[in-house]
Amino acid sequence: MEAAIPLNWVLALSAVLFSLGALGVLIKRNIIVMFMSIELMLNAANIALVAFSRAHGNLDGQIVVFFTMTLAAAEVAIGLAIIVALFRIRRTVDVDRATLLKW
Amino acid sequence: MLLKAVFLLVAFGAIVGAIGMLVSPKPVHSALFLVWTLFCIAAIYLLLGAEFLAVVQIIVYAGAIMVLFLFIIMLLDLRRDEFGPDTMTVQWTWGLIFTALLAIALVVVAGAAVALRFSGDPLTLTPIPDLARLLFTKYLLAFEIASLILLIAMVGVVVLAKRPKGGA
Repeated sequence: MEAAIPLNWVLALSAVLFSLGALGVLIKRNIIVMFMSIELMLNAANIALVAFSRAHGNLDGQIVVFFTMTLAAAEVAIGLAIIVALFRIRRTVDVDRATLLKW
Repeated sequence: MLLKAVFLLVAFGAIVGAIGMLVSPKPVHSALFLVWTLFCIAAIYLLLGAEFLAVVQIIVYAGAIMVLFLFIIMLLDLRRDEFGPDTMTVQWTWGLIFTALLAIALVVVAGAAVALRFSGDPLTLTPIPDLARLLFTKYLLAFEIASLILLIAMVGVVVLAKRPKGGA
């Protein structure tokens, strides 16, 4: 029998990917790349859910991941529509110039 | 042993893809790096025995969602001189510091899960009928609500993306 992958390794990968996603949201100015970073964070959380589902031996975690993917699809569609609407008004994807609600 | 080696390779690939996404200056390159990372994550699902989620990951994320991203990037007519001089040095510094702290905290939490171990043969896959039974019994209400959310998202996108032309 193969030796299983340690749970810690999977969780560490999840942590690293989540941190990279958070870093992307903090330091990028392009709203599209920021949005991609959010997707990366969602995926990192999904990895942790699948890992715990496997460790506990029940399938509920995998179902939650399934719903997360569904909501991510809806979220991406809405988010990109908002980006298109913003681009139409401001002709830019720079978040620093999206200041309509600032004053 | 082989399983661990494959896992490390795929995890390395996923992290390299994520870093590539952050450092590449063009959004198209970022999107392609993210596609690579999502494929690696699908491979990790497979290694964890969740083969249904691996397939869904490739179809929904690497397929639908990333095509949508690439489509929008190409639809928006982005100029190369779009971004002025970099005013984000403060954000870079604090972003790096806080992300490092976050990463340390998360890895410490991951280390605390040491008491929990995967049981059984690591190469067994999840039986999809079990997954379906759970989805259509215990989570039936959530399933229906998810379909409603997708419908609302679809209508919302049409409303948001419609050109406001004389109120029509």
